Amino acid sequence: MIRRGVFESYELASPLHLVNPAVKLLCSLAVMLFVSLIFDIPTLSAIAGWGLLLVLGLARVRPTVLARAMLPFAIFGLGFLWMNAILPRAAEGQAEALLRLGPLTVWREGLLNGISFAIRALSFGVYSVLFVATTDPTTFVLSLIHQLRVPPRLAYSALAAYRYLPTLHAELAQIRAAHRLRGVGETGGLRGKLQQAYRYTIPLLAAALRRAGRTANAMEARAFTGRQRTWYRTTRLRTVDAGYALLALGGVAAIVVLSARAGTLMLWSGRLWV
Amino acid sequence: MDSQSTTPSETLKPDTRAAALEARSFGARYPVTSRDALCGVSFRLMPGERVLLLGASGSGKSTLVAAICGLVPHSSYARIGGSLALFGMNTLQYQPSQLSRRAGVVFQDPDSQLTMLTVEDEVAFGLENLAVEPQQMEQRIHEALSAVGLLNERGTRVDRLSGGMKQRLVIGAILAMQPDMLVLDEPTSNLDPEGAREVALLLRQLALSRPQTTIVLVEHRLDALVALVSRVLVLDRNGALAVDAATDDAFGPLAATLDELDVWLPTSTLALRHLRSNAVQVPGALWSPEHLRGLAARNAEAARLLQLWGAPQRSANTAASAHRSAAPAVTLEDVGFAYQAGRPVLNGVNLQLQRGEMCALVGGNGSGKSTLAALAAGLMRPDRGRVLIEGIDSRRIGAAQIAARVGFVFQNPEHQFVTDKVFDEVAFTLRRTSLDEAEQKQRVERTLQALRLDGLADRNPFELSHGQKRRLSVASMLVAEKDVLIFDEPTFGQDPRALDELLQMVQGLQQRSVAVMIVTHDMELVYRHADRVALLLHGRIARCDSPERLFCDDELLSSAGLELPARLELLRQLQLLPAAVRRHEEVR
Repeated sequence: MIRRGVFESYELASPLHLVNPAVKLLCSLAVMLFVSLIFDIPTLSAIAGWGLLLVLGLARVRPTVLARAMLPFAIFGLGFLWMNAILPRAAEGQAEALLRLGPLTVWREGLLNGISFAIRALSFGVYSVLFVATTDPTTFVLSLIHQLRVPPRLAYSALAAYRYLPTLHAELAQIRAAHRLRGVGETGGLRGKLQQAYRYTIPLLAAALRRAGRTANAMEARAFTGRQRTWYRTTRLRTVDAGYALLALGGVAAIVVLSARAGTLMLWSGRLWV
Repeated sequence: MDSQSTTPSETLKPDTRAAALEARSFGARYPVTSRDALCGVSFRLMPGERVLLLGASGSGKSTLVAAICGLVPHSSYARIGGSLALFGMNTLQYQPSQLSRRAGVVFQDPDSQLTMLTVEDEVAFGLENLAVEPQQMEQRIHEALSAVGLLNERGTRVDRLSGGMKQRLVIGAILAMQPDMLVLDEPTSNLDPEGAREVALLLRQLALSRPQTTIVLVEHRLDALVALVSRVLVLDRNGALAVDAATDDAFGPLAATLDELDVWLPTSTLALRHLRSNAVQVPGALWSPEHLRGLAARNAEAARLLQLWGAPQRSANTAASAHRSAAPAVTLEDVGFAYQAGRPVLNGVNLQLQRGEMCALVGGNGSGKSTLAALAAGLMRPDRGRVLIEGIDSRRIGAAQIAARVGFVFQNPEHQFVTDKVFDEVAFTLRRTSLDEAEQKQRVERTLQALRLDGLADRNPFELSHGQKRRLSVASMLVAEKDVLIFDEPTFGQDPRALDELLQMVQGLQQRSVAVMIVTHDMELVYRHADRVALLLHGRIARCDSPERLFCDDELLSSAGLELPARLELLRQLQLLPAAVRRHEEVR
């Protein structure tokens, strides 16, 4: 039994695996755009919760896989929370101190802002997982070409680059080991770090460029031009895609309407701060 | 060498009666280089002909391959002289996409040739580019995959295939496009012995089942594929065509010429050369294993000499025996290692590296050879057991100390370059030694000279040719006195002369009582040079023995996916295996 992380979950099956990738991508992007314009905690939480429901229910992502995938977003969100909570940038005179920890003061407005930023980061995570965990990269590339009219040359290059990603990590590990054996210490300090990054980058770049050249040659040697070609598989728009768009976006719209009625909704007013 | 004169067909219209490939004083020079990659090459290849293209590294083989399918000059610019025509199409006037409909090219590295994520999509890719109707694709994908034996892997993700399967897939994807010519650019050289055997077998089958297909083969593992071709073209170091001859002439009477051109020869040719140098009268035209068999049957002296040629020839390693009593340079004790919990790569490995010996480490792909080498070098720490380097536990030894004692020549030389100049690269190793500056400079210069790098001291390491990069990485390890030197696949991509030089240097190290470990797939190298060979199988050292004793054990070899050294394989076919490597009933 192969344990599949979020990037391999596309090999499993769920109702969401059947939805056209372009539609899924646009839906997730639309929700993320929307989330960026909403500032109040209840509405944001509800939208994040709706995403969570879709991920666990429709996309059937296992909670452990989801948790691991959400980790970077959670760290990012916590960072935002902390930064905002201790920065007294609220309207002058009205800032209300909640808690004092030595030289640090936690401000009420800052904290609320921080929480809303954190939830936003988490919603970005959830709606990204919704797309990534249910989308076969090949089908995605096909739908980019067929539905979103991305030029095949560009889309196929992206696919080739995607295939190269896993080896990049292994290659970096080898370079580090090789340098250690030559007696290059992993030096601290900004200067040392920059020098190290430079030393690692050159061989990585050299290898990547050579490989890109070889792949491009191999594609050309198989008559690839990106023009006048037929398709073994085509992706189409079907009712299930409309259904998903309606469900995902409809849910978010319903939350916003309900929140507006209840008077909790706060939209972007031209400032980053409430 | 010269082509029969025909009226030049300068029309753009493809002519099916034309030569499959015709070069007329064809030359190519890349920008900013001072010499031609190819120079005045003329030959004519008829449809269905099979030709082997040989040449030392840097002789322009790859340029010629790239020119056949138009990549040169349409994708990689080069100034072209003369002409090259593929089935009457002047390659200057047609794009790679048009030329590749007639000539399918299989390159060396299977990974960078695959563009899609699954097996069937990979085959479909070429058909899509040819604008084949989608309804017909099903049939053509099926045929192609069954021709290369991958029918059961249709939906498999490409990255889960073995190296040999990947290369078979590339071949299948090209067959599906139904080209009239197959161009095979070292199709087995990036594969392990098992993968190489798989692909060679497939190519031999294809050559038989598709007699009308023209084949241009570039390869240096000749034994398995030489039967495929009837003609040999050899390029010299200046990119000129030095030999154009029938296979029997090339490897028979012209073998000495080929040898001077630094190309690999079939093992049977080497055997005959050995006989001739021992004053056995051999008719000049003989070279194939069948010829050898006949000769050995008629001539008892020849048979005896052949057996002697195949017998273990390592001189008794005095350096190793002198140090046998001393403490080993590296000791692995019950070492276990896993990258993922529950999936150990190594499991209870015990091995000792003696000073002054050369120990080869062999095993199939993924058997953990590189992991073991990294552990022995102190690059990684074992999960279980311990690794002692000069008697000190690798867990308790600092990076600087390890660097001072252990040298490691990586498969990709670029990985270990840390400076911007060839001279600095070698000097870097000496920077923490007690030698004064003048002495350091002298040592660096001496080492560069020994590795034929002396004219390049001011160049950037990344600008060197592949062979020069490899020599530089070796130089940077040899310049200081290390206790242990580990080579990861040193034979990879080397021509015979460069390899000989490297091995001579390794022998010098043994004299200096350095412990040498070589991770390799090259059994010929193991047989001729290693004092001991350790075979990794299922995470353990299944056998650690002298090469000749290991190569007696057919069962063990085949279960590890390994093969006999080329010369032993030849002698086995001739039923002339020397006694030392014949399987005898041992009392256990």
